[in-house]
Amino acid sequence: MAKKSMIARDVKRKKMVERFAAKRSALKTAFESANDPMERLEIHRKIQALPRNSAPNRIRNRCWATGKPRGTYRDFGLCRNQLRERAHKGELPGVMKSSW
Amino acid sequence: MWQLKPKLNTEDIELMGHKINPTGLRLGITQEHRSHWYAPTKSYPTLLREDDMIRNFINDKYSAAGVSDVLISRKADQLEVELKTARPGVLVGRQGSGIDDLRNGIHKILKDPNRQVRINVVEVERADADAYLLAEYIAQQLEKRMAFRRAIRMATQRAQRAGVLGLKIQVSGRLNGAEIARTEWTREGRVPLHTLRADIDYATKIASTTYGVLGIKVWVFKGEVISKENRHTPTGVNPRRRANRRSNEE
Repeated sequence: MAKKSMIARDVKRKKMVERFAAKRSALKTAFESANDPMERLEIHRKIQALPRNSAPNRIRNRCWATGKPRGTYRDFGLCRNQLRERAHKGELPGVMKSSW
Repeated sequence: MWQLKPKLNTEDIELMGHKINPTGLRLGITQEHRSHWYAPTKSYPTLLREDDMIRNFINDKYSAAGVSDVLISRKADQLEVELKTARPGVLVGRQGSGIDDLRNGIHKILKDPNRQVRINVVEVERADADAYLLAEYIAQQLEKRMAFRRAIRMATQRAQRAGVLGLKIQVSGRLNGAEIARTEWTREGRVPLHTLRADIDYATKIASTTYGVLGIKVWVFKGEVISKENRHTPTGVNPRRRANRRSNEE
């Protein structure tokens, strides 16, 4: 199991991203629409001033069962090990051993 | 004449045999999924998590009632939970108070008191032929420090009385508190793991003792399924008849 502190960090990041989401997207659209390089510079500065943890790419998609940061599948939110265990139990609807 | 011995092939040594979960193997045939619902990719993980929380809640709360299986199905926001248990009386409590508690618990977990939740409590016909219940029984005996061979023998007798075509039990770890861990298993009757149409109930349980952790695996062979209509070539003893289904609708 991943350290609780690491999972907690990711939780914190998720909260921050949500908090600043609107402001961030507004700034981004402004940046794209502006054509004057000076204006662009200004907006960019503003974007950089935002807290780092409000950037969505800092979130790591962890397994919700174990917190494993690697080997996680988006379709299930689970890491490869949990995926296999639960699939064998039949707890994943529609998932069966493939053979063709 | 000198014989040249081939070098030890390191790849061959690492590749040992392994058995897959007999339930997982049979999901398309002979076994049903424990969760039955459809969800688009975006919401699948969320619903999966809900299922998991519900299962954990039920197993924590009702371990005394011998819950062998939890089936969850969804149909457009309606959640149906079916509990298979050997002692429905313990689960339901007086006048269905147990079911209400369960529903409240689920609402708390889902954080949505308005979700439609249907709860079905089904009695397992032959409790002694259920792999999970047998495994649980053995685990409890081991945790009470019973000699493991005796525990296995008692479980075997129960299963045989319930009329089972085949049974295999494996216990591994510090048996009887020994310093060196080993694993022992016994088998009665047939347990054809390679036969897909063989209805095999498999269960794993962990027993935590003062000496450490013991792993228990139980395989129960209940018969081959020839056609879709009549599953289970019937076996031996008939179970005592009791009221079968108790359900509660919202």
